[in-house]
Amino acid sequence: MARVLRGVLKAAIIVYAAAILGFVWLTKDLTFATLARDPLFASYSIAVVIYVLGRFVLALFYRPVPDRGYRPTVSIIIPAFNEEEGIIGTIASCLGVDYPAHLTEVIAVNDGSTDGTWERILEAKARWPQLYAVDLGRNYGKRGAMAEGIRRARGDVLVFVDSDSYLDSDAVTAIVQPFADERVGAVVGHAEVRNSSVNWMTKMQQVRYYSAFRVIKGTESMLSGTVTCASGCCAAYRRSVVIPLLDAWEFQTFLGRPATFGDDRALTNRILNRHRVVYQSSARAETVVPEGPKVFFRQQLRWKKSWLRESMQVVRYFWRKNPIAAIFTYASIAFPFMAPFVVLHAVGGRLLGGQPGGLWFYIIGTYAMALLYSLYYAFKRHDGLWFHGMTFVALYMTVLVFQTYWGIFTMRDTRWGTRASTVEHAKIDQSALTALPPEDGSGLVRRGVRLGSAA
Amino acid sequence: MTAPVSFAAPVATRSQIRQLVVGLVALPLTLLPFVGYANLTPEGRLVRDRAVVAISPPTLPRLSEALRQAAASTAPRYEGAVMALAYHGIGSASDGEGGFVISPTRFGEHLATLRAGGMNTVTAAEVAAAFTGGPALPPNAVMLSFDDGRADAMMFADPLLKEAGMAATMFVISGAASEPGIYYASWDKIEGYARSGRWDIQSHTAASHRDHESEGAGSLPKLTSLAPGESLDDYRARVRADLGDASAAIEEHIGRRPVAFAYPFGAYGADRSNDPAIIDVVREEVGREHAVAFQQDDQETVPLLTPDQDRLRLRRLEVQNWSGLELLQRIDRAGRPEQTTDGAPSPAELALPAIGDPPPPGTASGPPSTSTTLAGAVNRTGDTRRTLPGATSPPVPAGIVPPQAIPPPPPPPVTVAPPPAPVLPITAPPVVTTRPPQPVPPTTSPPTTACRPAGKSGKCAGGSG
Repeated sequence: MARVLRGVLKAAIIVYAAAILGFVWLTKDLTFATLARDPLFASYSIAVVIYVLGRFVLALFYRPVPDRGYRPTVSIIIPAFNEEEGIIGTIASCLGVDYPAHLTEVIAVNDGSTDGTWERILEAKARWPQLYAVDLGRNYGKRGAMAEGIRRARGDVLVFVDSDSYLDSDAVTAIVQPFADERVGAVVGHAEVRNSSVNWMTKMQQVRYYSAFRVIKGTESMLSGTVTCASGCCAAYRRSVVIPLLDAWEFQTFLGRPATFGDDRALTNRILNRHRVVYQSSARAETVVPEGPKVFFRQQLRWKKSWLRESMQVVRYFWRKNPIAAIFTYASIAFPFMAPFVVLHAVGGRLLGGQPGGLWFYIIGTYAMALLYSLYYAFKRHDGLWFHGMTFVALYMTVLVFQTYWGIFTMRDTRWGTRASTVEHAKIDQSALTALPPEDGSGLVRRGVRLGSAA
Repeated sequence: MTAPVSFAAPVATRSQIRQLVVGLVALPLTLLPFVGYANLTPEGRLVRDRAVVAISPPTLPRLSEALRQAAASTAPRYEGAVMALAYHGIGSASDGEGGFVISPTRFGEHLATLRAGGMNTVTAAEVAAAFTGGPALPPNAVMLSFDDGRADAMMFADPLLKEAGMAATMFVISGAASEPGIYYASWDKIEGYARSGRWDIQSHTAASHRDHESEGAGSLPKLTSLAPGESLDDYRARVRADLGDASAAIEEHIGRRPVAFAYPFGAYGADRSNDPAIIDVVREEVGREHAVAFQQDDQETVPLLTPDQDRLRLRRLEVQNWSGLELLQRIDRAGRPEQTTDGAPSPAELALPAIGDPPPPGTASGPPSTSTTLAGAVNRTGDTRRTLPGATSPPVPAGIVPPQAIPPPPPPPVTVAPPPAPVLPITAPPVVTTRPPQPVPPTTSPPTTACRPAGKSGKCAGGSG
């Protein structure tokens, strides 16, 4: 019964989406008519439509790498700063993954938290002796904590989990599979919003996350492994690839200021230059997203800034990559710079007159694209949240679109916004550091030899 | 090891079910903005019309046997002349030009009825050739023409013309076609239509299809008035340049120089001008570029066109939302101005309200004042070859044939009026209008046309009884 309903629903969505595409096709000469009158505006519109449709169509063909029995050693690294509430759950989900225990180690790094995070980690350590607990002694910033975790890790594959993220039990098995291909330097999993049912904001982010991962990362992955951001909430790196880049990444500066946020994008960027970065949709994690507008906008601004910073690197080498991926990527860098002007132009300059490409045409065109975006979610997921995709597009078109330039103007402000931590770069002082490696009889086995003394 | 943390989907909670229902309800609601766009904005209506044509192109109606016979008997018969019909838009009459826009269904009915009546369509180019010593026109020639190069007209008319095997003439504003929008077809569309052989592309000026602020007389058509400070020589140069531009553009895109011209707004300088010399200047300039030119003033007395008329001021009949049969009657009546003038109106005329007169209030549902059928049936036996007004043929006898005389039962799908209904005389003298007539409200049929073929039953839609 439910299956039949689902089938009917899917068929209805396909018909609806086809009708919208038909509508877009019918308006094509309205757009071309605008081309003569308003070339910049029209070519932007055409390019965006082709870009979005191209992404969505390609994404339909995305398939994750199946489990071929590849089982490398894995280190799961959890950097934590003032996370006393969630840290135990995160550690539990990492230790509970369905992956051979002798091939897994979990490293929790306390980045000088001022709350009870370290106490919670110690509680966890008491409960699960195989946990590797590290306390940096003071606050070094997220990169410092991650770097220390990397240096102490012994697995071939390093899996990063944000302290507000939770791995699905089979996520590690799934995320290591693409590493069987020697060219792959990093893999990003699929993130779901854990608190998606809280309010419209988190529902909207659930739809947004889904398409950002499944569509954007999915297509980038298909185009010769060119994912530009292996998001921190669920990402894995080949240790041998990361180690040589570690120092440059840990102490990255930009405009004379330490590059604090955007650690995930920065690391991906350095790896992508030489290696492949792929998306593995079967490796699922859940992450907690901001529930209030203030925190949400700060997070978005932070992402925008790191996107701006890293895009300056991306444009330099991406032309050597898969040409279609390069076109998509350069377009995705160009669009946000043009978008605010296009929005202002569309609303400000077109209020008058029934010209083709007038305000109504612009609004209905945007609406059609937002609807397609949302229908994609409706087609894939049956939780009734799909229409929040349109909420996201509305918010994007009215507010977020202007963050590109806001980000440029406030580039030197490197505060996190969602975190109280902001620090200058510093080498980690090993003397002030507390390291509690796995105790006897537990932890990673490497080349058949238990690390730590045998029981 | 502790129990593995499971993230498998738990049993759906009530809020999840509520969310699912909201999602399902939202799905159809998201159509609303499209519906609003397609009905409330001009460009949306065009897109909707385009979708309608793409999904189910308009087709010619199948006329009932009775209607075909009525058409055959109503249609005038003539040779060596042509009736020029002027259409504007086809589609949804919601752009405030109700009188200039007829539905595709109505246009299809016109074509089917013209065909049933044995009328032959000719293009403006063929008229121009025939009127300048070229090949003669076929008998019962009708020139279907559209002004302005409107996208909707070509989109809806083309499949119908194709099905009917007919051709039409489009007088394009070349400037508008070069700068296409939602309203005017672009050159590549027009070129496509022209290649089909169904469309003759002729000139409607390049950039003079508009009013401008004239010298001392307010807003007047640009083609027939002097601009402030403009001398007559300047004016002549301006008109010459504009007509030349239009011809050059058409030649560039269609491959043939236009030979026919339609005056924008039908204005050729007789009125809506601010200089008495203009009427001659514009005629000369039009004549430099074109063999024939069309206007549409006085709609009461539009004659059949013959080569002995002023080739540069040929007259067209503005077609409105008439039934097919009424169109034939208009053509018939228009060809007989002598009857209007001698004070003995023909039955056909009696049957028809003066164009431009709105239907008398209450008549739409009230008793029909007269019977169109009768008028149409009168003297149209096919034997009366009409030659032209001013020619030697005697006036057509006008005898009233009672409705029962109309061939076969089922009653023809025109008003079956109580026989010898008191004829309502046309009280108002024909109004000579140079402006296009008032739109006929589409929902209100004129009394004589209260009947239109509804579906294929041939039943009277407008009632009567």
